[in-house]
Amino acid sequence: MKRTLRPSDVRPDPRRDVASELRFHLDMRTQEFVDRGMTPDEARRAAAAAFGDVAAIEAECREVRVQRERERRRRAWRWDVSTDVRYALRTLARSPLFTVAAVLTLALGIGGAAAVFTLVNGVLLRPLPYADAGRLVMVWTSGDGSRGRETQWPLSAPNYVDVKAQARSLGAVAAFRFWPYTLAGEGAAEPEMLAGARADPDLFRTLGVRPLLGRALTADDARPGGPRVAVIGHDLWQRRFGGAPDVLGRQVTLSGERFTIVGVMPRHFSFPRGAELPAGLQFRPRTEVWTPLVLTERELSRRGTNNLAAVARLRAGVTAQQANADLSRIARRFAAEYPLYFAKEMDLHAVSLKEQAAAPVRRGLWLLMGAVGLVLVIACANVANLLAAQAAGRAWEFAIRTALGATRRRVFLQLVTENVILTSAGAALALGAAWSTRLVLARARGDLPRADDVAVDVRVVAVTLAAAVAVGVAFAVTTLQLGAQAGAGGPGARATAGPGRRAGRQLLVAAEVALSLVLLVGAGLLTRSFVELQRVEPGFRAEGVMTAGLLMPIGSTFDPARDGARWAHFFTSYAQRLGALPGVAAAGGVSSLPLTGAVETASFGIEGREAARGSPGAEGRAQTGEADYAVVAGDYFGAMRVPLIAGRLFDSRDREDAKPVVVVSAAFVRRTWPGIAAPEALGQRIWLGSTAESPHTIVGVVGDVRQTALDAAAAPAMYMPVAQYPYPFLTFVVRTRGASAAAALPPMREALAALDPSLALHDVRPLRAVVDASLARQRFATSLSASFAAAALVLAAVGLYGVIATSVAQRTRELGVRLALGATPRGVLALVLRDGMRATAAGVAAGLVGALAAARLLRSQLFGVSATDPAVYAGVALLTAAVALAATYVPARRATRLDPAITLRGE
Amino acid sequence: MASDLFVGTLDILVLKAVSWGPRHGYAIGRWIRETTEDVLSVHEGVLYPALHRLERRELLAEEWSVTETGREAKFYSLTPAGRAHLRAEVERWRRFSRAVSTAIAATSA
Repeated sequence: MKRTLRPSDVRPDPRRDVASELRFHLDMRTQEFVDRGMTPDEARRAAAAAFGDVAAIEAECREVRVQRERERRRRAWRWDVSTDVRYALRTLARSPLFTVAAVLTLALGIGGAAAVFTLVNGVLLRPLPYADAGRLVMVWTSGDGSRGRETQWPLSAPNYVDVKAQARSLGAVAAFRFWPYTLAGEGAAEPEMLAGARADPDLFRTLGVRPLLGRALTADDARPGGPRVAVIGHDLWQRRFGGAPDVLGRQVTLSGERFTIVGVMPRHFSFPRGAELPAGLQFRPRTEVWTPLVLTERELSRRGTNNLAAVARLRAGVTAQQANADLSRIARRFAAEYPLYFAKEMDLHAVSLKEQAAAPVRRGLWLLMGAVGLVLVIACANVANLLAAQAAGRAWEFAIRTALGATRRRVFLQLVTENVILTSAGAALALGAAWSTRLVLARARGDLPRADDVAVDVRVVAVTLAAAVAVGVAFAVTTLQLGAQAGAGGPGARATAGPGRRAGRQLLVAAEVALSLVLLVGAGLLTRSFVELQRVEPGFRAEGVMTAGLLMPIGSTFDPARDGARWAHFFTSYAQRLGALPGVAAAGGVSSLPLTGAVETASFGIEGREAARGSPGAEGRAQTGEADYAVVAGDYFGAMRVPLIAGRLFDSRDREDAKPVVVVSAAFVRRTWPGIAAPEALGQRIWLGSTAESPHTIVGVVGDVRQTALDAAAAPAMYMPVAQYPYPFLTFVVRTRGASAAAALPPMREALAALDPSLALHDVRPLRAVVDASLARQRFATSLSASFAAAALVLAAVGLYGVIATSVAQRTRELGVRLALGATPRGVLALVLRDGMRATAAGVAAGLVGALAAARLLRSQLFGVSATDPAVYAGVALLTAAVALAATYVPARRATRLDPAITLRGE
Repeated sequence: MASDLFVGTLDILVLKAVSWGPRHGYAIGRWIRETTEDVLSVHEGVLYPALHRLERRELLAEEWSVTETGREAKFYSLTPAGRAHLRAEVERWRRFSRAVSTAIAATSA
């Protein structure tokens, strides 16, 4: 039968197909009837009647054919893909060294990026784990403090109550404060300190979280005199109660009082999380127990005592700006009605919870992302170079395939498959690295905000895979270009790679060198900055001191007036006992240990100072400023080796009923009486806070101590003796006589047990560890950037080595000719070296310029080092040049060993 | 088709029709009409969806060609899979008809 070629063979057209087929049938049937004797018209009608509903049949057939086409296309596509994959795997297996090198390089580059992106995702991008978290805000007071403008002061109890009642823009408001509880030991379990929060029962409703078991706190629980109930966290439930469901209704002793457990929160709920809140509020990384915040009449009358953090939910449709305007309106009312406690320049404002957590680390994380992105670019450049070297060899293969009928599209898809397999293998390893980020973080001390929210989630996997595919496609494009260029000549047409291609690869290497130089400069600056930080004098001597916290059992009835004397007596006795121990040089206690983030501030007034213009005063007093304050017991200053500059330290004269005294820091004297010498400040009297108390006399001036951080200047500080200023919680510091700090611990515990066996020390660590921990973030950034820079340098060196080695291999003929014509091996070496060093020089120059530009981004992270520190730049440039020289030298030397006889004959 | 009890009757007839060589749809329909003596007569159009489905299942292969009279028509032929399917279906039909015949011939309940 003759075969006609129809257009529908090339592109199927179901409509025309079916129509002609059916028309043929009807024509033949009609003819049949005509042959039987009917007229053409009758015959046609009979044929149609015999056939049935033509239109319906036609539609049905068309439908079948359309589905058939779809199935055939899908099958063809699957076949193409499986062929490509099989072929790609075979090709990759043929050159195992290349494949392994490429996959490992990609894994390194993508792995770093994936790990950092996991961090960025968890901390900056993911929504917080609360209902409709975008509408949650923290409400803060702002004002002028001891360190300049402060924007995240807590609220006072009466202010909070007013805000809750008057804020039209906020749907729910809940205050909370940190409250440490000592969980009494039961049976074999030791007493332990729990990070707790006393919270307005509305907290759970505001956050939109439900308990896993039992109930949350209710408004009833917050009545004064109401039942003592507590809600515990999931971890605590597992740890102390074995995850038993009968925990509800159990009674526990918290700080000496009986509480009933009424609820258990779900896993991963631990609001408030200290890393997301200002350090001064002293929240721990995770909160484990929640008790009702009961505001007594006394607390509700103290408008100047700011100790409540508050979270709120914006009403539907309200923007952040509207909420801020609303809060400012309330602030102005406070300033008008309570000028003594709410100065004119103070304000109320709201910060979104997500922003609260992200702001302190956002810059650092994106810088980290940028750094690791550079490493990825260098890694990709190396792999691109590897592929380019391969492409030259495969030009022939592409030419044959095209001649045999493969369309450009199929060849391209084949390349894409190969490259995507490579990059996906790298990405799979990379995701393993990203997953390990969690393990690394688990060991870190929760300094990172939202550390608990970091996980390899769908977005991380999707972004990583998408990046892998994109890089794979990019590689395929470049390989095709290079392959097409080289294919024109066939094998052997060019002995040496054309100048265009070689220049391209040298440019790539120069770029790698430049990028790694940028990273090295960054790492160098951060390292220097870190070294400078460690050299800062904190104001005390950290070696040989052990610190431990001691909490008086305060329960929910916090009454300093009633219990203060008892606490003071206990602390003083304990300090005395510690001081009397053999092997102890000095011992004391303080309410806020430096460099732990704990800092409390208070306003003070100077006796005799006139009220400032316009600001309200009372009987000649005036609020002169804010200063840090701390309560000390025993020989705190001696134990810390804080120098006494003038006057005396506290001693047994300073009893509860004696004249109120205070010791101030040198910065306090400088700020308050500029120009006078320290001894002249002795005898001056100051008022603390705004309560009507008798003034305190300055009896001593001590050296400055960096309270908040090593890179923050010391603020003015006031110290009160514990006997005169009741405080329920002190951190004790014990300086050993020559021995290590750890040796002090057992005697400390014994001395405490002798006084009261139901109490326990907590947060026990050497002072040296405290100082080191305060630098944890900088240490992390420095070590991370150093490893990235090292990785980049190694990759660049490997890339340079590869390019030179390939170049030498391709130029064996040319070099052989040169040697045969009389060039010395040294000359040949110099020739090859010159090539490598030219690329390096260009890279170093470009890198220095780039580093100068990029270093500006680092300025906020640097301390004691300028972003253009010449020593760092020079050092890095020399290091890079040295490494590049080594990377070039090794393959270059091989060039000198060439035997012209062999190279000229061979090929 | 007449019988609901045996599904696929039309398919068997179609496969049988092309088992001697490629035929176009009209010829297949005509053969069925003539061979079954119009016992199994139905709207002829039903044939075509059946043909297309068989082609989709790759039991038939289709090819446009020219008839003896010079007209263009789509010819269907049996694929190896189709031949195997025909054998299996014939066997199944034989078993079915044997069973029914035996039941009908039974003289007692």
